[in-house]
Amino acid sequence: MDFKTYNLENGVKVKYTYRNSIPIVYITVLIPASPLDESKPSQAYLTAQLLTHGTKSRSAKDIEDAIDFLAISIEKKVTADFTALTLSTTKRHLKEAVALFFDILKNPTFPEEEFKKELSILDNSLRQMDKEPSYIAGKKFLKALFGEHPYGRPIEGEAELLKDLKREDIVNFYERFYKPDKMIFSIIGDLTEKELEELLETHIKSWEGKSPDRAIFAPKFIKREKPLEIFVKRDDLTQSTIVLGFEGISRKDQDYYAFSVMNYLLGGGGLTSRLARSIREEQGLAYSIYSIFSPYLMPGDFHIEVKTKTENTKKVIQMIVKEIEKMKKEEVTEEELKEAKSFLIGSFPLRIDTMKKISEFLCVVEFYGLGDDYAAKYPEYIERVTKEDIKRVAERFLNTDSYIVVVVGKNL
Amino acid sequence: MKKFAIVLFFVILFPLMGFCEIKEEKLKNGLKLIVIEDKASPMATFQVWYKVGAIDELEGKSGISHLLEHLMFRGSKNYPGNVFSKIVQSHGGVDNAFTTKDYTVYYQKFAPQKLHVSIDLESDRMVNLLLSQEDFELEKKIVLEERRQRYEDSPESLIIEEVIGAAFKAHPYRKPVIGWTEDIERITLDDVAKHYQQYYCPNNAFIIVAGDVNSDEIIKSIREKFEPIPSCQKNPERRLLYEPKQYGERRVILKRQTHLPMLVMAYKVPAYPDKDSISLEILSTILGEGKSSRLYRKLVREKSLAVDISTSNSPLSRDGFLFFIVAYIKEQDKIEEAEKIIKEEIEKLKNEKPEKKEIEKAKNQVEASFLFSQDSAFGHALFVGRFEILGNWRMINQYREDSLKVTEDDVQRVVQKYFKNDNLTVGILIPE
Repeated sequence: MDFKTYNLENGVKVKYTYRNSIPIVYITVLIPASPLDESKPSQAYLTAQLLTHGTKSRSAKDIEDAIDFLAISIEKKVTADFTALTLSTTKRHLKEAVALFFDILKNPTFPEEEFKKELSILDNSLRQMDKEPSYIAGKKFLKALFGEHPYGRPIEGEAELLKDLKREDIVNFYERFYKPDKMIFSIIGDLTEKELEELLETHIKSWEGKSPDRAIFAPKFIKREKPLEIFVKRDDLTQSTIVLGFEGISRKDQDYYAFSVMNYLLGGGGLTSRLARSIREEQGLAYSIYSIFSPYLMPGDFHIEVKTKTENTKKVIQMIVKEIEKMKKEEVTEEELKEAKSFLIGSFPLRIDTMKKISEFLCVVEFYGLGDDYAAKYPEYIERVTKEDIKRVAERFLNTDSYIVVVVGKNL
Repeated sequence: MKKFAIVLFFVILFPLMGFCEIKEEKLKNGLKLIVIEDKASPMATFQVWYKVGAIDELEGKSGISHLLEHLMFRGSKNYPGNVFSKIVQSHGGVDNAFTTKDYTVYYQKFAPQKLHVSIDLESDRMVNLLLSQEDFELEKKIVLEERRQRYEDSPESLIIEEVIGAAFKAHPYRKPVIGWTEDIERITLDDVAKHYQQYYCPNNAFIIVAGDVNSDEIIKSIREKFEPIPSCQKNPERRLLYEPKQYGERRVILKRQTHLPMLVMAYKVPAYPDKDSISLEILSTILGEGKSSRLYRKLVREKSLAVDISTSNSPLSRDGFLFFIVAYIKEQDKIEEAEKIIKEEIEKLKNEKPEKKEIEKAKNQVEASFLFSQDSAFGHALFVGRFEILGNWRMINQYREDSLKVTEDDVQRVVQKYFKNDNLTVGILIPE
């Protein structure tokens, strides 16, 4: 993948790719600010949301009108480790779109009235989500695993805690963390180098400011003697939603690639994974079953989620534990290893098969320090993984003695 | 949908200009091939579209197209056993399928040099599906779990299903794609085999390939494997579609465990090539797409009655469907007020034409969504396919021209014509 990197004097890093196949442009900015930096839950999420609710020269309505009229979009994504905003625009409206994008980024005013409106919408949305089985199970699981660590709460926060939040909390969060020195930009599309230079001059180079170093702490995992079972009773449900999991891996861990292959075989590989084969394909006990892990700056979680009709709950939990045990005890077969590698290597380009995906990908690669040659090196990283590595990471991470299992449903 | 990992969200996209060359070829057995040469994409997509969906299903057999879609992954003569996805993934590809009310699509995404895998697998299961009793029983169980997950335990989907069911009394669109539980339980393997024989014919299907491919070469490879498949002796039977006149507004009230009450209003509207469908698309942008839309402004921003509100229209249906207005209301005792305000906004459009700037905004969005859709080879192929389902993908150009011609008067006229109580079904979801 061809791209240029610009390291500007104010600390900003810019990744740039010229593509003129379609007259559109994407700009992503990654800001190293997330729940890890919060003094109160919801700060990171609401700060990002409220950027488009008023600037020194534009009201919230002006901004909404402009976004819809120019047919642009500004997507806001807050993850456990960072915030990212992506602007999508046609070439025709590039100038107005870019001006708007940098205005919301540099000059937001967070009007009190807008803050209250957004808070009320968030409160209702969170209460709505608190009725959804998957959300409830995931939330209870993360809380049990991480305790008070920020990785242990939903990114959006919790409805009950919103009353403590004031406009000043948002302003303070913005003032501290939305500084250019650690920002990573990615610009891709129908924009020439000359146009890029102009954009950097007008909007980025003269932007000054330093954010404090992030005071972030690794989660402390509580040692348990036996599995922790959490049951949330919901008589209206016909299925149990089961989330079973434990401590996972950090993105910086040496075993990341071996873990990826192991997860693919256990439950990450769609219908061909061991869990999907045994629980869905061979017995018809579920429609959806998968395992997933969150490789953050620090160890995130690993979990399996499945939905099955109430009476199968216990049976399915036992089957999951059995599959995890097998992964720990026995080496995977040659055939499995070969197929997993072919899939992970062969399908990697799907992560960067559109300009939009490339735009976000370049920022994230830079943020986690994966290297400019990451896409080129990925096949090598995966090829290196051996059967022994997989057994070793399975033994290191997979927990069959003191996992956490949450069930949301009618009965256990 | 066979698998659960990929969520497809269909946005109605309108092309204004294409940046890729599209080639078309028809094989002797009636199978049409459409190739989109997209040199910018590192991955290619292979899609087989069958012109069959819930709209074609007989009474008592709802969900049969979707059940067959699941069984299409359980093995064919030259690839017996549950090996399709395994083969695709071991070549570094992903695969899936989905069934709608109008059609069924199977697809893979591969590096372009791996498309031969798609050709081998899809040509075999087009004609040689095995359909064992054991697989049939298993997939039925899986589909029933899917139904529990997507509908029984999801009040938001359930209210939509109920509204659609109430809006149509005779038209097959009243039935859900996944089927009623009772029908799924009673469908037999013989029913599925007949359905497969009747609709999975080369003359009732087409293939779309998109990506960095050479059209001539890929067409040659497809021809080799697909042309020997015999066409069906007669074209699949199409049912006579009709919906009797509606008298009076219809209402459905559903009580479930949820936090936000939901208000759903659905008006029966025509589909393309009826030009009203395009004016209704423009109306949807003005009324309920984006935060500057009229209903969002009024109900969310000004009155603070709703958390969210949006509208949607399906102009590319095989037959006329519904124009939806969906709102999440903050308080149960505000539902009535919200409905009253929505109806006032509709009345306002009947009396005063929309502003020129609103029409221009809608047209800007038309242009942008078309351009952005081409960022993805897969999305581009889906878009082209949806026109081919209506008869010919080249209708895209006509559709584009028609969209750009829509005037303030057209928008006002369609509001007057279709937004009447005798054409309306309302659904209300109340927290229990």
